[in-house]
Amino acid sequence: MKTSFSLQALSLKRRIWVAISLVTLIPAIITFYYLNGFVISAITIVTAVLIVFLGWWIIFEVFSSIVKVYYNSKKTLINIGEETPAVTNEVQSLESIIDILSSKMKSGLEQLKDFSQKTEELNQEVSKKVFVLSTILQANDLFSKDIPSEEILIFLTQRLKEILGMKLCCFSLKEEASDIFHVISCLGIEAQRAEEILIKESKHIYKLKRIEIYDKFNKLITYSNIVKELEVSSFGICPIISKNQTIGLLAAGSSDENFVFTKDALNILNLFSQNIALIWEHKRLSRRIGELEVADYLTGLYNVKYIEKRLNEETARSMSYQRPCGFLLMKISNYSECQEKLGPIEAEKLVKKTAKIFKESLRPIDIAGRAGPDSLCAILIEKNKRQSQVIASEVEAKLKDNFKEQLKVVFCVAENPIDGTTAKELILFAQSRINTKNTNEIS
Amino acid sequence: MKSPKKPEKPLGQILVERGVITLEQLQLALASQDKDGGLIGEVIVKLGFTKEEEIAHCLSLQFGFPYLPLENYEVSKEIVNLVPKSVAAHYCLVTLDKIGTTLTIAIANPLNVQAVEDLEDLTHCDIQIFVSTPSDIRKAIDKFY
Repeated sequence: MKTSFSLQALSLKRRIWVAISLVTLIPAIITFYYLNGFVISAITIVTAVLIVFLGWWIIFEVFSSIVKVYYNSKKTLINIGEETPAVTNEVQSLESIIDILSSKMKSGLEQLKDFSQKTEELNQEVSKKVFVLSTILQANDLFSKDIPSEEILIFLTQRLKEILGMKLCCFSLKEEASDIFHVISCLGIEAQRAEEILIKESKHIYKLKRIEIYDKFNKLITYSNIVKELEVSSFGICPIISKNQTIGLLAAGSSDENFVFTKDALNILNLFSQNIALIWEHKRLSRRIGELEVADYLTGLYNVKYIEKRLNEETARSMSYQRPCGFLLMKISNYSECQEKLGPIEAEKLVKKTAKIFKESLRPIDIAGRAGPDSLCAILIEKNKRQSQVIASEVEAKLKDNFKEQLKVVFCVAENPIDGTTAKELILFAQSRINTKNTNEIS
Repeated sequence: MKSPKKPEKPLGQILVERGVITLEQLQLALASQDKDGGLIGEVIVKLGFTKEEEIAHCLSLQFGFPYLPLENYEVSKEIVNLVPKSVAAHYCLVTLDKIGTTLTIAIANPLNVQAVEDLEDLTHCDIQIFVSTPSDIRKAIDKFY
């Protein structure tokens, strides 16, 4: 490593020592030699003068650097808008300036610390909001993937507990047929216990229309009992409203005595309850659509539900007119074989074609439907068993003409009043018999 | 098998032709049937244009089915159980007797071919038909089952 000697590298104290040494020691040595009779040459004197000058130059440099620091500090003080100390002595002034700058720096650091803390709090708030939004998005995503509503609602309850940092979180929905609320999802408390408390406090909470809270600033007497029962210090309950009706309740409780329901926490509760209401409403509408659907998607024939409804109507009608009502069930007995051989799509096409021929073989007043993946059915208006069997033979002949040996079918005929007096009885009768039949058998 | 032939004329027309009811009464009865439903014979009786017994007599004379009042008629449990109550109530009939493979029944509407066919399939018997009034048959069903 290359080493170099430089005064700049030394501290001010050492530099002063070097300078004083040069200024005092060299003239002292020369004087000593001179006094002892030595002859001092002109060159020696010139060299000594130069060395002394160097010493004084170093001293000047040292003080100049101090003065420079002083001016720079003063300038800094002026730049930050502070008044300079009214002292003429640079060193004292520098001391004051350093004091001022130190205190400024200290307060600056404190402000920075505060700011950093606030930034951290803000970040937490932002991440909490991001978490809330991502939860809502995730719930919507699950919803679009056709995940059962109950699972989504349970997911939302779990997330709400995490977001608000609660001890317990409970979500209940009103039974449509009655006014009783049933717990759907419950965390931090047993569902049965939560349901008992719900029933006990039903008069307060069943008709709730807005969020109500119990915490250290809001001691609502209505909830003092619930808080005690739940063993929490704070409690919030939010109604889930759909079409102006309270259809459910979302409740959260914290055991932290200092927990306060902030505006943000209330907004989150509200947001979750609104989303739950949307999911519930969608579920209700989906179910209603399902109830209203009458046609089978593949064959275009009526679905089982509609057939059962119509069969009930027809059995009632046939009773009042003392007429029979036939029910024909047809099963493609080699459907699994067709699926394996032709593939699912071609097998479905086969069912579709079979359904078309099946319907065309019936009278316009008869009602054809799809009873299952591999079976079709028909309500044969005012046909008794004997007549229904004739129809079944005709359908079978037409299918044979179209499909030759490709399709194997079995038939079963049930009749009101002989085999049953309700749709359910007739369908069950036909289903139980058809599974025991051989291909191309009609009974 | 002594199944009834399918009638060429409807009951209402037969009743008018036999003078049991007038054409105007039949039209009123048909209008009422259109509105409220029900069997034409029952509608005519309900409107008070004639009695059940007269209709039964008329059917008996027109189609040759003997009329049998069921009051004080007793039937054994064994014969009754040949036909389930639901079938008897549905077709408004009651079993009366069985001799060999011939089952005798009383029915309100002897022209109900399908009912007779069903009975044949159920009992594997030939059916001998008597005509009776719906009220008598219902009372008999309640009594025997």
